[in-house]
Amino acid sequence: MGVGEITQQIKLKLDPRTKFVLLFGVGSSCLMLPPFWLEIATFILLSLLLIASGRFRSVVKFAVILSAMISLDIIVVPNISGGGVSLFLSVARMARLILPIFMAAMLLLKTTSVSEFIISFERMRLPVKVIIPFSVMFRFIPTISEEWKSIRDAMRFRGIGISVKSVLTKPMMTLEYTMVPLLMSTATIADELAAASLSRGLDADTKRSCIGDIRLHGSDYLLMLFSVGSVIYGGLT
Amino acid sequence: MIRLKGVSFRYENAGEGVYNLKDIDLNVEKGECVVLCGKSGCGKTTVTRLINGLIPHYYEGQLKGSVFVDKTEIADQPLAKISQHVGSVFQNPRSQFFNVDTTGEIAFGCENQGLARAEIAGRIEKAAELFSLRDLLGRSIFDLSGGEKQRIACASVYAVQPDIFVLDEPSSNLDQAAVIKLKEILVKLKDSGHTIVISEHRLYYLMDLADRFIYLEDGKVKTQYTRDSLMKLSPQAISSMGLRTLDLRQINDQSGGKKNDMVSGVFRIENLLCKMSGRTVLDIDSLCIPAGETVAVIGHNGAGKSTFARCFCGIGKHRGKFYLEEQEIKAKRRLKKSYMVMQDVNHQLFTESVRDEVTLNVSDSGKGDLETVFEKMGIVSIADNHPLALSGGQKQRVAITSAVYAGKKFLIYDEPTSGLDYESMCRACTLINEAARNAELSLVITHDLEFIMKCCTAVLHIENGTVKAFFLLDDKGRERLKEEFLNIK
Repeated sequence: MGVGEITQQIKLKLDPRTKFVLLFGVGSSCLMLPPFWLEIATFILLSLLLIASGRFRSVVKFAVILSAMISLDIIVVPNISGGGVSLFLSVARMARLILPIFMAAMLLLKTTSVSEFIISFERMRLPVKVIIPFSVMFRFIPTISEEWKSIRDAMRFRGIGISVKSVLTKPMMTLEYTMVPLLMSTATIADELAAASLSRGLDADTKRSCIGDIRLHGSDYLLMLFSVGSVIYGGLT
Repeated sequence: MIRLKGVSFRYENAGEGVYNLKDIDLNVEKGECVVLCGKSGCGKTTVTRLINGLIPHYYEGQLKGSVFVDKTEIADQPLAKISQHVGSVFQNPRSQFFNVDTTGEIAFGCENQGLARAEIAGRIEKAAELFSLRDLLGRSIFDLSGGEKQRIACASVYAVQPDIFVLDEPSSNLDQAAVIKLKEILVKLKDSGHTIVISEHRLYYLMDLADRFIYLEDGKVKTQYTRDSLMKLSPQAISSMGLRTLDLRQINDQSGGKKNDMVSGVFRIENLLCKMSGRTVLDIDSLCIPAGETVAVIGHNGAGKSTFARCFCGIGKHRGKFYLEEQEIKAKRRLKKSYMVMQDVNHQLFTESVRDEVTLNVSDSGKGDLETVFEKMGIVSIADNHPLALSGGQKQRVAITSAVYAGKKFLIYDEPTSGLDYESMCRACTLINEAARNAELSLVITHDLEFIMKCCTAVLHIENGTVKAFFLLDDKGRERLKEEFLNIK
């Protein structure tokens, strides 16, 4: 289906809506246990899309993981028997199914700016009341991970660091020590962020514009077709 | 241009009848640069919120009197409309960006107004040109230093082309070089006829820029100064008003910190190497620091100061060896002996009362008497309060007390005086010196010359991931430090 041709156009820009459809399509088809060739095709397609948006290193990682999973399936599984086999099988296969979903999510989250998000939500004719909370949430994901790093450090200085052991033996306490500072710091940030964005006219009545070129190109339609196709195929088989 | 007439304001959650601002009258003419100054909590931030409309449109409360901008009353206009005339830059670079990429951020205000794409592109171009931001376009916000973020914030406001700029403590998180860059931007804005209102603790960088200084006390305008009349006050008078120095050259504090004489020996660090995603961020062949010192760690944002501190206390991944008295101390052991007071203290308060917080995970035996420690650190009166209900200064105090009570020996402070007025800065000083009496080493990451002269005993200058200088703060060291600060361009 001319994958190479698609990726050439991708370098221009994918519409966020396409990425949503792709995530949804890949997600559904993966959960419907696709045949091996479709799995590989999906993987290659997503890899090319990620490479085209400058995520070559992540793709290498994903490729290594996938090959490891497949070799497990091919080499190890036939050579052992008993309970171990089913355990191995399920772990390897599960991870393989989730991998493309992960990649599609990465494509969506890492290559879309908040403003593109807002504009594509608007094009989907979602009401402002839905758009603003969603875009704030999208903006918040990286912030939470930044905050979380500091809190984890702070916990280690107090000797209450998070480990498998602490989660198993003292789950409630561990949860408390994590959530209290996380909620406090994110609540402050959320408040300041809301004030800052309102003081810059986020809730203006006028129709927003966007510096990014948000339009559906040929490549967008092809990718959507692929997504829908793979879901339908999965549903039929 | 801006007119406040008999304005009083009380935040919704403030006590009954306690007004945060009382009967403020203020006029700002077109093209003027006015600085709001005063102690923490004097109401200067609240005044900025009146002008940019966040009061009453975002922060709710009781408002009396009226605020006019360009002859229209702020209360009658929606925020989105006000934002076209009044641009705001905030204190915390971490929480004022709505986008995660720089170009998108500069465009954000224009996009909200629905300007055409070509027009926005032109404005971004112009802002990048004026503020020399070309290398910063198209980058992730999270990879920028505080100074770079503040410049992007200014540019994004500029792109909307407002007549008035309102800045709330914009220099709080900036190093000296970034402060100078910020000043250059403000000069350009003023020269192009913009009206600037700025609330600030650090005044020295505004001295050749500001036309008037409004000194607020307890929510009232106490005195108004012109540049000249403020300059006439003695450094002592400025300090007693709770203000930071007007001129870095005048800092002449001989008090300094005191070395902890109870410990002896030298920390020796060898072949310290730290890489982050393939890039070398820290590379120190050899460094010796006498034990017991309170060391100011200085250098540009991004020079490797925090990384050094993180390696020292064993929490950051690194290669290299640490010795005290020729005895190697491994990372795990260092982490056990270390405590870092973070810039955002909220990250390190975990429990429901100050008492629990301080005793958290400390075994009872041999850690000294809790009440004595409370007394020494001055937190007896708040021992049963909820840590998160305390003021910023009190939180910092609780965090430091936890370190002292747990018997931590390596104390690290990450910019403990950012955004503090003179009094709070002095209190932080006393506290750090008190804690240092039991410590084997205190490292203070800071950009605050006034504070270093008051509190520290040595200086470690890190630049480009390596040690540029280490020296003790004797008379000669003080001169040298001052020289270095003044020569930063």
